[in-house]
Amino acid sequence: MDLVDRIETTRFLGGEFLLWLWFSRDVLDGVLQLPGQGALEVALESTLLLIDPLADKERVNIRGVDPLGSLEAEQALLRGKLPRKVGLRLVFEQSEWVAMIDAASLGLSGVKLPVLLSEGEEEHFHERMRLLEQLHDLVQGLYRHFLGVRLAPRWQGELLPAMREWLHGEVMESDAYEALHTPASASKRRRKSR
Amino acid sequence: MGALSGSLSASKFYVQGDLPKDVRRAYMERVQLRLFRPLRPEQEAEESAGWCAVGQPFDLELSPDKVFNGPYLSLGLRTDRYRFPPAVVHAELEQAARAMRQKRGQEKLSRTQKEELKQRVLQGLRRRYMPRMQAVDLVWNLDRGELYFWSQSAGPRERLCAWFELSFGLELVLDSPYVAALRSLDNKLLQAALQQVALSAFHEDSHGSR
Repeated sequence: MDLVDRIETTRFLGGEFLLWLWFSRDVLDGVLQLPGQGALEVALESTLLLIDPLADKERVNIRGVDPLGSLEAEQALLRGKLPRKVGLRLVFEQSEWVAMIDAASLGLSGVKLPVLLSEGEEEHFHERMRLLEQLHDLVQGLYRHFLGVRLAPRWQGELLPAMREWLHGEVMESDAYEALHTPASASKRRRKSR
Repeated sequence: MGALSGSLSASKFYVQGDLPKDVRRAYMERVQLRLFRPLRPEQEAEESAGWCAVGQPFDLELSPDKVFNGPYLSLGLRTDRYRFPPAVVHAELEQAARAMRQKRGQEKLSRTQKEELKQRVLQGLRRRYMPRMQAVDLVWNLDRGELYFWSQSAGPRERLCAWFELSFGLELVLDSPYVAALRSLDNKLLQAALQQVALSAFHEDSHGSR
């Protein structure tokens, strides 16, 4: 399979990433630890578009204060739809970004940057670009964290069932979440050392 | 909205390939070669594309200080295109054809005459109508090999990829879940798993849903 085919046939990973982000936000009360980067506050809000990954025309578009908490969103997920677009708010080191993320491309649109502090045209441009790149790095960091569990052998047997339970309203404790997100080799080492 | 102000809606690309040794000199020469050139009514071209200053579509006097800013190379990709309403073109052609038939006493015009007439009508329209202009900013971080392009539409993105490759001899790869994964993963097991990954069924479970 060539690169173009692989790109097209793996776009669902973006939808699964957003669903995992939703799950993580719920379990961790909105604060995720990014490996190597630190604490990141994640809010999903204002707009939610859900699409069936196997039938692109099957769509549910929800807007409002808490679209992710709506009954329509819950029903759509239970029918196999995945998030396609969602409003994203990130807070990292006292800076806040707002954007819309598209799962199919991981593209960010309508990005609102933290308040720019620099003066002068050149400095202003530099700061603007640095903050835009930082936002992309944070999203990339979250995606990398997701891939670490999504592509691991434990996904099918442990995390996927846990997310199914969550979809049906089961509450997961943050300790259980952390255990599922600790690499298997690290868990073994920890158990041996006890 | 563009690179310099306003909210940001940009497509992210990865730049594939190595930079030349003297980047500034080499790329300034290449940019100058593919600078935007305005359309002229007397020419047959209906579209023109090329580089302009970032955020300044009418600024075609590019110098290194306008293009390079720290690790960033910034440009605008300007495209001008004539777009005439089909009804106007049709009506003008009809009128011109009628006038020619009367003048020459012909009942029908030959294929060559019709083609000449069409070119004349289009040239007249090019004198009367302004071309439609579109300019899209791009900022390329030369250190990171990443480029942001202030459009998320397929047409302008395809035009950028073609124009960028012609100008700089480098390929652009649009960000996507797969491309981002390839660039994120340094673990060989995860890289191998990425090649086999298939859609998960989140809605199938022991609770009885489908």
